[in-house]
Amino acid sequence: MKLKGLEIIRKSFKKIKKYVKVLASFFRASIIRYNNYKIEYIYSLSTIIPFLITLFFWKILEDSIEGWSFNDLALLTLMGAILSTLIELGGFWGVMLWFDRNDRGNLALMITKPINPLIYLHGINFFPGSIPKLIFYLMLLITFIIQNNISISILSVVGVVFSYIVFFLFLGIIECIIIAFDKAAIPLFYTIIDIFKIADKPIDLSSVLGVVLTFFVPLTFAALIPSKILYEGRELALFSFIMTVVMLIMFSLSYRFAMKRFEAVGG
Amino acid sequence: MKYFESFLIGVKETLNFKLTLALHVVSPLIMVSLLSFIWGNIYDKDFLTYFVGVSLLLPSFTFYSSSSTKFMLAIRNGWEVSFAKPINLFLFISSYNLGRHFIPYLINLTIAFSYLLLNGVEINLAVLGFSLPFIVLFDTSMAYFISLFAHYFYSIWGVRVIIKLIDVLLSGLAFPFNLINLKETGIYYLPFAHKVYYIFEASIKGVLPVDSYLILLAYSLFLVLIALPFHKLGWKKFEAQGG
Repeated sequence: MKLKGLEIIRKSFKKIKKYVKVLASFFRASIIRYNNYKIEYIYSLSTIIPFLITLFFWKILEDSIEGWSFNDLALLTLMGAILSTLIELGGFWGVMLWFDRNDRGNLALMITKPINPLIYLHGINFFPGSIPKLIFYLMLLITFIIQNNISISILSVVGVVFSYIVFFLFLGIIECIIIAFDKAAIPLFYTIIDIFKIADKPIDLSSVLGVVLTFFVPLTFAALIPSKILYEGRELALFSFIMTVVMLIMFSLSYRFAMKRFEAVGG
Repeated sequence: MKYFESFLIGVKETLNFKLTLALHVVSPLIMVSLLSFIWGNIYDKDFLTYFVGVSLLLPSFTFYSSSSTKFMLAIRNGWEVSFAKPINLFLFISSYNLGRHFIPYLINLTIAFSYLLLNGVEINLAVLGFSLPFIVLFDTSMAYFISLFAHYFYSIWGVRVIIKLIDVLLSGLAFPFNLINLKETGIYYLPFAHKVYYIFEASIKGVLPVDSYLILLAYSLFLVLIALPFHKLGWKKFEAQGG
């Protein structure tokens, strides 16, 4: 029995190793590709300007917002900016454009490949142009943590990672809906991205809106919960872990549904 | 007349894609409700009138983002050079895009107008209507400016996206501008607030926002004057090298 368990773990690690290897090769290829279009790096870096404008507005409004200091608001904006950069890096925009431009026949070709189609799609759409911006934001976060004497534990870092994973799984579910219902569902993605613009606003988690944006459209996992985890830690870190498990189950179900529906309709 | 034809093509195309049309209508409504809830929670005040006003009365009419993409494709494919000369391609694309945004704008305008009227906020339609050509002029100039990059770079998505993001922040769509002193912060001297927030305010007061018109005109002229020599240079380069 014990040996069987070990065997399963060994197999899982082997599978993960395979995917890491595949993703690494995709990533290398993307860097080579984008090095020919250096302007993309400048474009991505320039999106720091709206981030700075947002901070400017928080500075103006800080005294009038009860319960939120400028530091709280800045951290909230920074956590949202980091997630937004990770979305860019992970090629989510590219995947949506891919769905927009290609018909289902191409998807059928893709499914025959030996790797998971979603991983394949994100692999070919990696956007290394956002790496300098990610480095900038991470350095800003580290500076912020040091300057404000925030004690960081492994639990809080893991909590932030899980919180981001919740949002990525949510986007994954949207992708599955698009696979299942074809191009008709693409506007859904653009609506979600539109709504994402409010992720860096100070929402009260205990309000009705806070509950809706945590359990139904998990937008608070994009910036609010990660920033709170850094300050307060434990409970929210545990909560984001539980939500990750829930979202993983939902993602797995929607992935199976999408593939079944796709195969039933035909390429 | 020929530009009115392209306007009609845009209108017909929008009516053909009903889901996209629904998205154009539903998406701003979701945003308006969420933003009003959030700012309402923060300040314990009603922000629905403000966000309905700034988000639905005017922004769905702004179209420089989609126009600049089409201008870019036209430049890259050399369509202006090969296009039938009696038609100005930039005007042709602008009127087509105007057509594409017209129906969603009418729907949003009706929703906003009804809501505001029900809540006792009267909108002066004459002021609003008189302001629209200034917004169209600014948007077309902006699209013309953004598309100049297509002569020199393979992709211009970055310029478009950055300007759009800045526009959302500085026009009063994300932060309630009625809480901020715009002159003190310098936002007043930029064009973005003048094509949304100030026109909404003027429509309520029933006064023509002459300052906003002048600022929009000045910026439109500025953008065209900057872009014109670069476009001319770009076309010379294109004609010298071939498509």
